Amino acid sequence: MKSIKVFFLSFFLSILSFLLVGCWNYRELEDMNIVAGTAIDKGINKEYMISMEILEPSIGEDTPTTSRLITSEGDSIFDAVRNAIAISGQKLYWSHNKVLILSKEIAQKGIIEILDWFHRDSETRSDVYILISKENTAKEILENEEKKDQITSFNLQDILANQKNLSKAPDIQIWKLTDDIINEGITAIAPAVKLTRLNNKTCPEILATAVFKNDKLIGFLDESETRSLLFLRNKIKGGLLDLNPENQNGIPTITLEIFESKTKIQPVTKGNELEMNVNINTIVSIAATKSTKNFVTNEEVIKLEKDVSNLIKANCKKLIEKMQSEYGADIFGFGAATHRREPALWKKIGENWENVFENLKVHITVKVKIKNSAMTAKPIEVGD
Amino acid sequence: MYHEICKKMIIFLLNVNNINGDFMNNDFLSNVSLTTSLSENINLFKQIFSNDFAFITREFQNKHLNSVKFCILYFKGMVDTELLNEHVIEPILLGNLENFSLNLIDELQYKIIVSSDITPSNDFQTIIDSMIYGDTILLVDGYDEALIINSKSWPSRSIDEPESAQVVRGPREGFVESILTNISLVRRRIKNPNLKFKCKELGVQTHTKICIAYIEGVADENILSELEKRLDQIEIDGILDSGYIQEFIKDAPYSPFETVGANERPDIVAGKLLEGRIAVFVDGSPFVLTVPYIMIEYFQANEDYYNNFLFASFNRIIRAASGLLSISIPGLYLAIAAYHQEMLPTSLLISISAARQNVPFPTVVSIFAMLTIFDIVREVGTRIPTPIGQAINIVGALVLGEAAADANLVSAPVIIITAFTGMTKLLNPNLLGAIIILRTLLLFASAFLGIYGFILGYLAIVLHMMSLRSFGVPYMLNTTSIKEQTAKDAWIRAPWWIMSLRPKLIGKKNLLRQPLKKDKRK
Repeated sequence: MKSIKVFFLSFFLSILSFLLVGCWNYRELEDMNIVAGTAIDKGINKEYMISMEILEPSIGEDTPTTSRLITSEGDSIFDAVRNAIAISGQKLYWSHNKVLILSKEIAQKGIIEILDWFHRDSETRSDVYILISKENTAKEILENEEKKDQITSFNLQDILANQKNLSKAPDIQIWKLTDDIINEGITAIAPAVKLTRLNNKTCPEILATAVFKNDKLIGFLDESETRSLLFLRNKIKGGLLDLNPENQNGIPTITLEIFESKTKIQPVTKGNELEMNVNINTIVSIAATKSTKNFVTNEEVIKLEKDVSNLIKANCKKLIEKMQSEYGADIFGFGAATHRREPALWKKIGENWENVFENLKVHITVKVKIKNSAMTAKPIEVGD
Repeated sequence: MYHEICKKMIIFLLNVNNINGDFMNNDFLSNVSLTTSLSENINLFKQIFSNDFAFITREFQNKHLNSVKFCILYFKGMVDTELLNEHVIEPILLGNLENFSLNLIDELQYKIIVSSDITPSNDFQTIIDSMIYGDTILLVDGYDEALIINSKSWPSRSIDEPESAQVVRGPREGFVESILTNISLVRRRIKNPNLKFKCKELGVQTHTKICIAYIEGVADENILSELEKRLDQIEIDGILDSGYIQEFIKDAPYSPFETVGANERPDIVAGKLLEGRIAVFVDGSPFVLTVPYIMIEYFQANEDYYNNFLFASFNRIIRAASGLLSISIPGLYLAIAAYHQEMLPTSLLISISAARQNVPFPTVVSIFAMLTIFDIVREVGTRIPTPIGQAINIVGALVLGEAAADANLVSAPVIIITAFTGMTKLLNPNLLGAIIILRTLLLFASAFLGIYGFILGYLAIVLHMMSLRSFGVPYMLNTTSIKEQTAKDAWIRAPWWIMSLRPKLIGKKNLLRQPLKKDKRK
C-alpha cells in the first residue's frame, strides 16, 4: 500500500509542478505584435524616437497582410520600445524584425547603445539589415507611399538581399557592422537609403554607402565609389560595368556583367615601409552594346579587358586616395589584413594605424577576363 | 518496480484481496472411467452432456452378430455424417463379424472401419476432448475401451485475401480461423521435415489448440524454450484470439510497443520462420504470432521482398518516415507555434498568425481536440456497418475540415496538422496504438516545455525503445547499424543476392541463407 501512496504522491507532485509554478511561457501567435522593421530618429522630447512597422496579418486574396506604424519616445532604446506598449496594447515581438533604419543625426552621435540593445535582447536578432537614412528622417523611410498595401520593411530587405546583382550598396547586417566597429584595422560601413519619387509618390531607394569611424557616421560615398569599395572589400558578386571604348561623347557604348570577382590584399614591407598589394581578379561577359562594332575578336577582347582593368584600377585608386585624405577611415580593411598577415608588424604600428593608413602606398593590379559575349557573337548590323 | 506498482494499483482499485472459486472445475472427469457395460457408458456420457441437444448417440448391431451392440457418439454439426454413414456404420452393420479372430475392438480398427485416423483409448479425458473437437466415439458392448474416429468437419471460411493487409504484388492467401488449414498453408510453403509443429492446449474452459512452429536447425532453442516457458505459465479460462497470448507473453507488458508480432498472411509467417523466428498458431484466430519481434518489423511489408529492391527500399523509408512524422508533427508544430516563433519563416508566421485570429481556444487544446475527433471518426469507420460508415465519414470530414475552420473553432494549420498526422498514422496500421499514445505524450511535453519538452519526450521514447528486448533480442536490432549484413534489411531492403545471412541473434544457429559467393549473379 505504501508504494501506491508514493506513486500517487509523486505523480500529482510532478503534475502540479508544471501547472502551479507559473513559469509557463506558452504564448499564442495572435497575441503578439510582430515587428517587421524599426526606424530610430532623434526624439522631440526625449533622447530617441523609435518607429516600428507592425504587421497586421490576414490571409486570403482580398485581404493582404498590411502593416501600421507606431511611434514612441524614450530616453534609452529599451525605454522607447517598452513605451510602445502604451500605444500598441500588446508586447512587441522582435524576432522577425528585418531592418533597422537609423537617421543621420543618430548615426552621427554614435550607435553603440542601439547595437548593444540589439545584441543583448533575447528576441532581437543580429542578422537585421542596417540602413542609414541619408536625407530624410528614418521614420519617413518606413512611410512608403508608393506601396501602401505592402510591408516596407520586407521590401527593403528584398532590395538588400538582391544587391548582389546590382552592387551599388553594401548589404550589412548588424553583426557585421558591430564586427567592423570592434575590430582593429577596419572601419564600418552601412548602406544608405533615401526617398525617391516613383509615380509621383515617395518610395525608398537604397544606393550608396555610409562611412563610419568608430561608431559615428562621418560621411557618404556615391554609387560608383561604392562599387570600388565593394571591389576592394571582396564583396562583388555581380553588377554591371559601363565602358566607353570608342569615346563617343562620354556615353558608355558597352556594358559588361560581372560574374565572379576575387580580391586579395597582401601587405608587403619594403625596408621599413609598409605597402599594400591589391590583386583584383574579375570575370565578366559582354552584356550589351550600343555600337555595331564587333568586340568579339581576339584583339578587341584583349583591348577591352585592358580598358576595363584600367577603369577599375583608376576608380579604386581614387577612392583610396579620398579615404586617406578626407576621412582617414580604413573602410577597406588594410589594417585588418596587416593584422592577419604580419602580426608582429601590427603590434608596432597598430596603435598608430590612422596615421599609417593616411600615408599608405597601395599597388592595385586588376586582371579582367571576358569569358563570353552572352547569347550572340556578333552585334546587330543595320542593313540597307 | 513499475510493474509492482501497477499490479498493486490494480488490486487497490478493484478492492479485491481474496479471489476464491473453483478455477479447475474438471476434477470429476479424472475420476471416472469406462466400464464394460455399454448402457452404463452411454448413460455416463448422457450425464456429462446433459442439456446438450447436439449430442447424438446412435446404437446399432451387426447383421451377423446379434449379441454385441455398438454405439457411436458425436456432436451434430461437428462431424461429417456422410463419412460416418458410409465408412463406419455401413461396414459394421453389413460386415460379417461372426467369426472375428481378434479382440473385437482391434477387429473393427484393423479390418472393418474405413477411416484414415482411428485410435483406441480408454482414457476418459482424451475421449471427451476428442469428441468435443469433432471426433466420433465408437463404443462396443463388453469393452471398456473406445475407438476415436476422426470425422472432424465443420463449416469454415474460405481462404481469402486478408482485409487487414492487402498487396498488389504477392500471394493473396490469408489465414482462416481453422488452425489445421493455417498450418497446411505454411507447410505448403516450407516443404521440409525440419519444419516442426508442437501443439498444446490452452484455456481451462475453451481447450484452445495452439501450435508452435519453427524450423529445426534454424530457430534458436533458447528462444523456443523461453517461449514454451511463457506459454506454460498462462492460466486462463479461455483463449478466443491470439491477441490473448500476445499480451500474456509480451516482454514489456506496459509498453505501447509490441514485442510479439501478429499477421494474417502465410507468406509472411513462412518468411519469418526462414529467418529463424518462431510462430504461434492459435485455433480460432486468423492472426499468427511470431517471435522475436523487433522494431524494424513494423516497417517491413511482405511486398518489399517481392518488388524491385529500389522501390521496396523507397516504400520502406516512406513508412518509417511516416511513423516518425505522425508522432512528432503535432508536438513539433505546437512547440514552434507557441514557444519558438523565431524558428518560423516570416511568411509562415504571418499566415499562421492570420489564421489564428479570432480562434477562441489555445493551439494545444485545438490540436488535442482535433486529433481526438479524428480518432473518433476512424473508430466509427471501422466499427459500424459499411453503408452507415460512409455517411458518418462524410459528416466527420465536413466537421473536421471546412466547417470547423469556417466557424473559427480551429485554425486552418491545425486542420492540416490533424490531416497529416492522421494520414501518416494510417500508413503503419500495426503501429497505430503506439503512435496515438506517443504523439499525445509529445504533444503535452511540448505544451509544457516547448522544444525542450519535445526533445526530452523523444529522448524518453528512444531510451525506452533501446531498453526493450523481445525474447532476449534487442528491440532496436539492426536499426543503427551500417554494416552490410546487418543493415541489409533494416531501413532499406537490399537485393536478394546480397542478403546471404539471416538476421544475427535471431537466426544465429544457422546464419547462412545462401552460399557466400563473390558475385551471386554469375
